[in-house]
Amino acid sequence: MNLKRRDFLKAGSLGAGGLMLTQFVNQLEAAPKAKPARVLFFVQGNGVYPRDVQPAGIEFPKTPSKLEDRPLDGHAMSLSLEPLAPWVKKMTMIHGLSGRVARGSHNMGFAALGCWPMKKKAYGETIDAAMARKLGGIYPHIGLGVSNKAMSMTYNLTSMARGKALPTLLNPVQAYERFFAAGAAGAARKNFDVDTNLLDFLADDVKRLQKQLDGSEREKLSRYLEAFESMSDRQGKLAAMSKQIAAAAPKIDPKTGQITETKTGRTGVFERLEAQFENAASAMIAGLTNVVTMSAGAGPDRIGISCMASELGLKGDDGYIGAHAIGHGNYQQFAGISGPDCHAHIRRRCLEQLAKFIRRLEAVPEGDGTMMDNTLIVYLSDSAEGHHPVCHEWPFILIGDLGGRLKLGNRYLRYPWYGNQSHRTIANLYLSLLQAVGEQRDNFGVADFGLADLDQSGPLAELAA
Amino acid sequence: MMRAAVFIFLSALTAQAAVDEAGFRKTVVPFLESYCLDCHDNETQEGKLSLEGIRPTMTEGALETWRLVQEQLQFADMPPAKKQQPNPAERAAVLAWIRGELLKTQEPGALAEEKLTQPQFGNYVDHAALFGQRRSHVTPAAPRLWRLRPAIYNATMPRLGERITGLANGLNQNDGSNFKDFSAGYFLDEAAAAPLLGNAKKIAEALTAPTSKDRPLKVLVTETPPTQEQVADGIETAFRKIVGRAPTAEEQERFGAFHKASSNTGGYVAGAKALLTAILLQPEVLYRMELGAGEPDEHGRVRLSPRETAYALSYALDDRPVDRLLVAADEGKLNTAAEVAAEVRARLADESLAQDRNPRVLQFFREYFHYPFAREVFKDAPEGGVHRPDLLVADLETTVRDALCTDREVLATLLTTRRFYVNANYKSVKNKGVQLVQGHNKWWPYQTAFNLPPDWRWNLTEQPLEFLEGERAGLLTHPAWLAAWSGNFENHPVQRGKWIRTHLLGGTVPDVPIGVDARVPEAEHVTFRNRLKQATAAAECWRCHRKMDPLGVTFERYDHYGRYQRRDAGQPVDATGWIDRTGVKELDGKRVNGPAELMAVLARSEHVEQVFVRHAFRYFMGRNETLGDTNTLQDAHTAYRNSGGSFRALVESLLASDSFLMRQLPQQSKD
Repeated sequence: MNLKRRDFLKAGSLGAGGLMLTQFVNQLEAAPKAKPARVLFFVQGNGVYPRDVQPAGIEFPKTPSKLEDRPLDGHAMSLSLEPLAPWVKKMTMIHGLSGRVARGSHNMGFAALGCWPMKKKAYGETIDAAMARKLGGIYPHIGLGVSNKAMSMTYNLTSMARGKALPTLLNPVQAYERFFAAGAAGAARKNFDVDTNLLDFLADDVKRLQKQLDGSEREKLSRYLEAFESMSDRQGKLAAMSKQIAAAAPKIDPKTGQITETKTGRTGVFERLEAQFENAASAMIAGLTNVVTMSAGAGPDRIGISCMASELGLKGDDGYIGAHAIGHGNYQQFAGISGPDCHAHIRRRCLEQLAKFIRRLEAVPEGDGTMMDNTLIVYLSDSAEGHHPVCHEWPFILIGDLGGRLKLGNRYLRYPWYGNQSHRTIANLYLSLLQAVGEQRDNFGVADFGLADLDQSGPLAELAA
Repeated sequence: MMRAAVFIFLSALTAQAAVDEAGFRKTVVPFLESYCLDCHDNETQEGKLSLEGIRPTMTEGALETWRLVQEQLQFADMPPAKKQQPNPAERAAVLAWIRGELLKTQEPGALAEEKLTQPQFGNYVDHAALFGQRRSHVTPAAPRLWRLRPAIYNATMPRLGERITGLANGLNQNDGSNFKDFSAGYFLDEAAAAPLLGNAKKIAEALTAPTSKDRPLKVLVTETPPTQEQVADGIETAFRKIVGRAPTAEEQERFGAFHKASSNTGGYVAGAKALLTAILLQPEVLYRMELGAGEPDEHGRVRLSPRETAYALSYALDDRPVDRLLVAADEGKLNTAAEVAAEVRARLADESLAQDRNPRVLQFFREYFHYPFAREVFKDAPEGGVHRPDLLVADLETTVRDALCTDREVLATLLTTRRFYVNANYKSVKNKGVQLVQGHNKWWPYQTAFNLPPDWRWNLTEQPLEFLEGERAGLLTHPAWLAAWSGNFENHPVQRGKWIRTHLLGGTVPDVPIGVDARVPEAEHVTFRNRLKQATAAAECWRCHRKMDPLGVTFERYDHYGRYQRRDAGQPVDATGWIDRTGVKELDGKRVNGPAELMAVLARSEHVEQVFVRHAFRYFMGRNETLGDTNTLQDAHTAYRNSGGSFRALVESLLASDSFLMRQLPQQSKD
């Protein structure tokens, strides 16, 4: 909450003084407060296959009983991870964490970030929502993503409490309009101001009706009233930050806003993902949010990303590559390559977009370094290790160290296999993230009964800074 | 949304009153010592629960324990029957203390009473009282707001203008196997308001676009700013179109002023769109208003206004307003229960094979039996077959449509029929109307789910197929229902038993404690029934599982694809079961040799029929019954009985009842 107010005050002075963005950031840095902290959760549908991300020259033991902890550099990245190779010194690859409690059929959705049985859907607070609550911001959490379906939004990964799912916006143009209107010029900016009027009018309107009711029905309307009041309040803050929003706003190709469901033509899914990463980077640079969850075909709506072979740059016959088909397609050829290879190419294309996001944050100075220094990227699949996951292992790739709050970077960690002494779960990783931002907790989500003999509490000791 | 939650949290902290420690020492501690600690002390820890040294504070951890204690005491599940029992006054005193402390937490759902508004707690109202002594009158619900269900929003909003597509889904709907559309279950908050605002802007855009058919709205954005008369005309048109009524003079003035202010800020085009957006987001548009109107009667009840009645009836039967009902309201033909009954009867008279005139009727059976969930339960293909849950669901629905068309002994038929369709559905055929046609010509051999051979020759003339006596008996033995109530790899007798316990026997089963290891042990050459027994036989498990497992294990007669099986894990199948703890004489202690006999017993029971009526009540009223609805339920059951099991008669009785048509003003309530 403090951080949020501080942002607001800074932003207020900016609006009046018209400082440039870097000055704003420097000023923020000068405040007698902890360094900024930002997290991007990037959730890939359809699994991150463990063998597929294994760096060259590091053995892949089947069920190790000891922790392996070694440097990552000097090992060539696999095809899908090549786009991240420039950041190998900032990268941490974690193998061997399990998430059996979340186990489902194709996608664990909320359970991937929540660590509870998949069928319980939005059962409690997911890790990204918890981080957002701790880190605050005008928009504490922004959910963006892409899907092959022509939907503008979905609820698939994030929830702030039981039954309180947070949306994932699937249309880059609509997301752009939602977050950057305050920084726009001309008619768009006027519309923003009309919106502020509108929200105030609606709040007033709801109050009128409320007077006629009592008890629980009155309570129902107060939530609606609060919604308009809170949105109106935010409009005021955004208006005060309009210059820095304008400076950071991305340029989004309007074509990415037209989503068509097709199995015969270009899906445009990677262009949409690129645009969403642009939105994400701009939202962080403008100071609108500290936590973004990016979904690439994740959640109960989709099994992953489908596309045309040509969109992956594959030569030969063009054809549709369906995410479900490649998940089953060990022995089937798609555009001349196997299903798992197709999936690797899809992930590669996604990580190319992530690389652009990293470069943008690296281009913005912050403190003695860049914004990226205070940012952590958490890459995982909501379908753990495969198309039909068993969740004995759940690969994670992290980039950055959250401003030195975690001992991360140039590390390869392989935890002992499920059930062995010192085996750890994804909940322990999430506890590391929470403790890094000052939330002292020892448990996250629902414990795995299959590991009743092991201590499942606490963060990953190896990551303590 | 974040902000709202944090606020609630803070207010909960600041507003929390001090713990009533004196009451705890005086009332609760002696009670625990006398009746609980024998088994639930640190030493014995029966069911892994110790109440020794429990704190009187409702903080995390202790809160769950207190809720559990409350539930156990409230429904007299504890102390166990063989132990010394507290007297009702002692019980009530402890319950009062727990209730008071839970209230102080301000946690949503902390109180059992609040829980009782949720569909899964409907059975908590005493069945014997509901079907016992009649009351002098019905005490209906208080005036209420009922957020539109997504189906209504999705059916009505895109039709307001030309080419409105891609509206965001802003209205949540609860998951799970309970009735979806309950008025207490939903409200609009920021998570909903943000996407609804986006949608409203999109619709406002379409209403003023050149393609719009509403000239008075288009005029607002033409080359010259609109005159005052044009704005007034636009407001009038928009209200009639969107809200469904003319604006009041006060509204004319207020919305006119808003249009003016917005136009000054952003120009008259933006002003016009903001005006329409504001109308589209009126609570009256997004909530069903059931406030009642007119003078209260001698019991303090008011009748829904004719317009409210027309909408309530429309949305009970359909997902959009029914013109005929709106006209009837305007013509003053919905003023008495008899008039409403006549309209409902006319509307329900659907002789079509597909029975799709009133979509909410078929939807009741979908939500009650929850068979469409088969589509969500992922299964690999069985050996030598394919698993096509979508086709199984469509097949089952053909049977339901038949039962609705015949409208005789609907429940008993659905619980016992062994005539099922295989790959045969009602569809509209060009120039021929609705006919029974082949469902699919590609997905063979999915019929193995019915134990039909892989090379079975499909035809239309023998549909529905009559299965052998004992092989299939009712919807619960249909592969679609069995698949819906199964796991990915195995049967799920616990869930099946729970369904029968709650949906047919009217019983209750507490929530699964989150700390329970709900895995069934793996073992070769042991039947699933026996493996389940290993998991649930312990006393602390059996206390609840005895309400479910003996009913659910009868369906071990089938595998998890719904195929009849003689052997499981190489062992002969034991499909016997028993009914008890219903409080109904002719049911308790009844042993059955398999699912067919179980279903026959249940289908004959008047008690089961009453429980079915209670569920129909909940679905059509959008709330749980209370003792105030006693007469409504009895009348509905009588209507069903006297009509020879007509579901239409049942629905008509419910929709013409005081529970449906009246609202109780809170201050005048005598109950």
